[in-house]
Amino acid sequence: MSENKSKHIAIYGKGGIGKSTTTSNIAAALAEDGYRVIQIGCDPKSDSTTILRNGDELFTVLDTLREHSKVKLEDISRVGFKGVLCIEAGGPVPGVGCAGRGITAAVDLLQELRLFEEYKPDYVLYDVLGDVVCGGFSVPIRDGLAERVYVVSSSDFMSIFAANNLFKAVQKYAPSGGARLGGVIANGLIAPYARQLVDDFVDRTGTRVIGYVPRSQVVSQSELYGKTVIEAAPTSGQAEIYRGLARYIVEQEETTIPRPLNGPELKAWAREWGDRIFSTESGVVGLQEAI
Amino acid sequence: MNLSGRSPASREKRLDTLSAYLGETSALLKEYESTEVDQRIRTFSQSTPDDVLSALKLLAGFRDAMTIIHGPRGCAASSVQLALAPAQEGRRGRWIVTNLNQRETIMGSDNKLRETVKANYSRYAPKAIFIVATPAVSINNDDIQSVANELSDELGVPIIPAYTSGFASKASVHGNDVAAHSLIKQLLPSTRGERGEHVNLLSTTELASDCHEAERLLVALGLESNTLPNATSIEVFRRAAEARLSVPLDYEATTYLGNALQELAQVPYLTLPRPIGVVATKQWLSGIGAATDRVQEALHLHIRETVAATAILQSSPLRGVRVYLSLSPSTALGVLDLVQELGGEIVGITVEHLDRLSLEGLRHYQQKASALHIHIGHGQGFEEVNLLRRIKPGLYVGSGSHITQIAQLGIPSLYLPRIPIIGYRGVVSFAREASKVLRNQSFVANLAKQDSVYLASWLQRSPNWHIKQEVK
Repeated sequence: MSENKSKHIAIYGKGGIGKSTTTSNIAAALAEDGYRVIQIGCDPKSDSTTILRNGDELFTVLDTLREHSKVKLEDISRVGFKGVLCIEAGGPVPGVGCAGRGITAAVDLLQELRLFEEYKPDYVLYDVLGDVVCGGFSVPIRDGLAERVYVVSSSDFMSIFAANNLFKAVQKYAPSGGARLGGVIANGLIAPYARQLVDDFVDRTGTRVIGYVPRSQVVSQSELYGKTVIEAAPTSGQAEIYRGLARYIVEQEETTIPRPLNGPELKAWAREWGDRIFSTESGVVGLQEAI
Repeated sequence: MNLSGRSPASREKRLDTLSAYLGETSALLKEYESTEVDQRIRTFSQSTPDDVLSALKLLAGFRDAMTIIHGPRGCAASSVQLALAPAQEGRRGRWIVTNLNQRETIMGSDNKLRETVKANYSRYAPKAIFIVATPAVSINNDDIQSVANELSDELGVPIIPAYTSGFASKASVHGNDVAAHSLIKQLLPSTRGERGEHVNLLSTTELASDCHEAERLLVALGLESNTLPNATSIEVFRRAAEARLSVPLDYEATTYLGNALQELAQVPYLTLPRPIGVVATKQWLSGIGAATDRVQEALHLHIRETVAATAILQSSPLRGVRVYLSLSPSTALGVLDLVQELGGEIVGITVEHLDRLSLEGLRHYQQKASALHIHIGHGQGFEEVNLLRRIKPGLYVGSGSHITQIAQLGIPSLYLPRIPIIGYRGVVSFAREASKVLRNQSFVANLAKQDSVYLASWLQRSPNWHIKQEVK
């Protein structure tokens, strides 16, 4: 399966929304299907690939750069579940330095090491922190590294807000060779209205949801064991959901350029949903609904 | 050669470039012959040029192009200096700075860059526009590429970003490679015409008279010269892909370009020393003669040209003079031979940096002057003053602005950047200028009456006090 050109995919989302868990499970599902996969964590917290490598120690690219003048690929990578090559860009400790600059430097080093030419992966997954906070964090989508972007979002407004920001970046850079949007992964859905809210958002922005991932205890348990769901609970329904996402990524390569909402539009949309949720939860009956 | 990245890997990674060292030449050679060269750091450093400056110098050589320095206005200071250099008048393209303010460094400056490109294109209609990145836009990873892509299509001229940063490499010479990388990526024609008879003469910042001397020698061999990227045009650069071969005037600055042309356009690149001094010029000509079936012509040319130079060599003002050199490595190793041909004695050298491109020259230096140390430092006036107080040479030949501090030690000092040194005519002009400096000893004797700019306590330290091996 390594004869084709590597497919580079960036997965973005607001911090804490579950994108590392989602990315790692997709990586595990792809590896389970026999694909060669690299997962690169682009987050100063450096915990993107933890559950792929049973929590084994892995020096980040930037830590290794600080320690050694000459860095080798084996110094900055670990082979995880089913051969997934795990790499963490790393970054400065909180309060100092520039994390975005760190991602740029780490990506430069990986290119110098000819990582992709040497390892010949089928899929490279970049797990990138948050919304687009500065030029450094947009490197995977802007500089022609990734061809497709997926956004992990829950139904929380701040998560939607981050997704909308990311859409702005994709819309800006896609025409000049930047990545295009593959779709939204709706994650951690609990509330009864959550699915409709995310669906409505993707409708308004001309995008689509590629999979719905409900909140599940299996995910929490697997993480406590330091494993992906694919590894810890391979027969669970949750594992099947992640396999579905992986299949979608393999089979559906269609991408779009999103139409992000501007500030007032997003505010109005949020207020509209606020009213709808309030009406539902407080039992307000509309005029026509009583008949 | 991997052109996929925005810029080449740092010179330190590709060529083990050192920017700080003071010690035995043999020990350094041994390090280079082993697998890894240990980097040194300076705990105190004076003003050192960065890669932005070298890239600006190289790109300014395109007379029909324009350079946009993308950054705060202070980043253009080096171009003010370049523009004022009298020897380069009329040989350089226009430049402008985007003059970023605080808001633009925070919010992104692509709009301002777009406006700058458009305004200057409509005003001057350059054949290409270079956008040179400065440290400010490198740190915040400002978006240059999408502006370049968009406006290249819209305006129909190449808009070429050069991703210098000021910090990716400690060696200023790295900027030449960054600029060459961008030029090759954007200007090399995708389809090549028929192979021509012209020879690429690769020059970056040589004086016009030095380029003319090299061109004269090529013409005397019956070859047509295609000089680039110094005082050149976009069209001449594109013709480089169809050349018969490429020859360097300064291999330190042009090897990346030469190798790229060889690999991507199959134009053979000859590895030759700088043609400085009679012997090296003969080697340079012989190398070209051998590659173009003109061995006899090259030999006859050398014999004819040596006549004028021989008279100078015999009446050399440098005979018996102890000479110290502080130059770029390729120039230092070339002038070293010239000084010895003129009867001078080399008592030490400082080179701006050192890497694997100069190893052959370094071996040559060690064979000729095995007891001598080598000092690596660019713009390190204090280290040189400290060294030269001890060595006390009879003549200092340098290219840095700290040459005034050396003259204040009472050492006759020759500022080389304004003196033609290439080829046979270079022998004559170098000897003439050295003679002038050596005759006017009272000038430096008067300067030496001034107090040193450095405290006595500083000068008591060893010259390598601030150079430490990097411990990781």
